[in-house]
Amino acid sequence: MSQLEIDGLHMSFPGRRGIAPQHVLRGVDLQVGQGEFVSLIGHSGCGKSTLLNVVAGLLRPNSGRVLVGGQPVTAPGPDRAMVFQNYSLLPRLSLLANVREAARSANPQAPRERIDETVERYLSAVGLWEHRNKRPRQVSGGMQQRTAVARAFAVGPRILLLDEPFGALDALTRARLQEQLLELWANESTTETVLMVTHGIDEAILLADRIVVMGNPPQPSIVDIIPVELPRPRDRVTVIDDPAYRQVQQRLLDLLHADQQAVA
Amino acid sequence: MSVTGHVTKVENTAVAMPPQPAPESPVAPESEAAVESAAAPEPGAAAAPSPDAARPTWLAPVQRTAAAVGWGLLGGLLFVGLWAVVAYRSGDLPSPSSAFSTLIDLLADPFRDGGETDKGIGLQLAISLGRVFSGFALAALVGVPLGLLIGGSRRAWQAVNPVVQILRPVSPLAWFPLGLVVFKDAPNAAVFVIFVTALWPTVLNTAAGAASVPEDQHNVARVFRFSRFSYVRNIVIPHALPSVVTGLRLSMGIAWMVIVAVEMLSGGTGIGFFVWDSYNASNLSAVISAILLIGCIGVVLDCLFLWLSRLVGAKESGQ
Ligand SMILES: Nc1ncnc2c1ncn2[C@@H]1O[C@H](COP(=O)(O)OP(=O)(O)OP(=O)(O)O)[C@@H](O)[C@H]1O
Ligand SMILES: [Mg+2]
Repeated sequence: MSQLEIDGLHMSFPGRRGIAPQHVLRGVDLQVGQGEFVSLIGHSGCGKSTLLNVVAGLLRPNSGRVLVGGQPVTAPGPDRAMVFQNYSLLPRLSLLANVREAARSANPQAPRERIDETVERYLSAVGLWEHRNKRPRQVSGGMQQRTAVARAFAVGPRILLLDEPFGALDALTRARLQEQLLELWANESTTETVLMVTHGIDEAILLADRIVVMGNPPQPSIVDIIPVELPRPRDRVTVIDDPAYRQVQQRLLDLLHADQQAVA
Repeated sequence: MSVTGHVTKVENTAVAMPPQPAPESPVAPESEAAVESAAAPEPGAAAAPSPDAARPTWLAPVQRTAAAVGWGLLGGLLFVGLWAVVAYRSGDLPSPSSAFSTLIDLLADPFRDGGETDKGIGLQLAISLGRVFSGFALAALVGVPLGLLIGGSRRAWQAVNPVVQILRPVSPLAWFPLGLVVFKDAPNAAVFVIFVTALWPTVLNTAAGAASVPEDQHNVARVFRFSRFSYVRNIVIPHALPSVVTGLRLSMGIAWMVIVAVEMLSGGTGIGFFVWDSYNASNLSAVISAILLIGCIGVVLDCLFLWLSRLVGAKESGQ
């Protein structure tokens, strides 16, 4: 049985004066197995964040359903954590308090020492332990993003929802965080399944087991699902020479290009 | 906890309130006046000699401040001059000189206590301030939690809003008879009136602040399953704090105006009683002295809250 099952999801945003209603999710079906890493890729506005929000339980779909471990999702739950596209740290709390509040809310029964330990572990993992007492506005966008990643991991979710978690980072930091993410996902944490929105084709191929390509109307919401059959661990330098890598890359480029032409 | 801006309309409560000292009023502290004259091409700033290249840089702000003080003094003098003319023509009004000498006399022994109604003006002001702060503190104690509640819950808002909207436009003095009946004591009734005065701006501004928690912070609380307590403590209160202080500042401004009127009704003690008593004794110089002192204390109170609001405003920007 898949850990995450999405069945016939439809989601429209009602129109307002001057704005036509938008049918953003047009029958999304997706099964994600336990321990799988799935990337979502697609042009801006095709509904990637909307899909993630529905899975998180923040948005109610018009029809269709989301099952996590066989149970229908109606609200956010402790089994899912999210890294928001705009980081969404609480501005009045220090980085430490941001992570700690989330960890504490997720495990209200856990003793204080265990919470503190978890918080320190993940803040250190993203290299922010020295900056723990700063407010979000006192650190860079990339540091805020890393805090958001630490916060999501500190909750100990089984499913991690990432909305462009590395968008604001330079290439080097991004590479380091990608490794850390894989490391945390594979060994360190209770997180089993990852659903990650990205704009980076290379990032998607490097990280994912499968890549879901999403499209704008008139195309269906899910244009294609491409398996990435590259052995792990993948080395970012040598993996590029793998013929399978080239194949997936070309396929993605074709699909995204076609979608862009459809919109234009 | 659906908090999707159902209280946003009350943001403009300040407009619907009795006039209160605005931050841009001419009684702003000197530093502000200096900044203003620097920003807007006032006659005063234009008349100042243009800075010479050889002149040290610290001189410019000093000059601007001096110009602002100068123009302020000139305005004051003009006002006093006009007053002197009117007083001379009417014959009923005390002249500035007699008012000032009365003021000096009153301030010579401000805390004199000759029993019952014969009290120094400082003592009367202190009594009034005590009432204002009591009523104000009670209003803050009730108003801030109530505001947080109705700002955070649509149902609470819908339940409370009609009552608040009907009671808000009523002059707080109308509550005085009720206070008298309930407390059977004029001074306590006066505190009650101040409580009512300060309640509405506090509740409405707190509610507006609490209701305007940004969607993404609300989503954080939902995804990470914050408890109700944690949500209020870590998200609602920090976000609402600047509005709370704004509400308290408005409340204090109005309360200080209302106390004079209440004490004219309640009699016995307080600066309002002092004004009324002086009028009955045909001592208009004392009335004018009291007006001056009331105004000065009002400015000090407003500056206090302005400072407080800058403090929490600065916190918001993460400094
Ligand atoms: N709350 C909302 N109300 C109305 N329309 C919305 C709302 N949220 C999203 N939309 C619309 O739904 C569409 C999909 O939005 P979504 O945020 O899911 O896109 P996205 O794929 O995440 O884009 P990006 O890559 O730019 O983040 C957009 O066209 C957007 O205008
Ligand atoms: Mg998005």
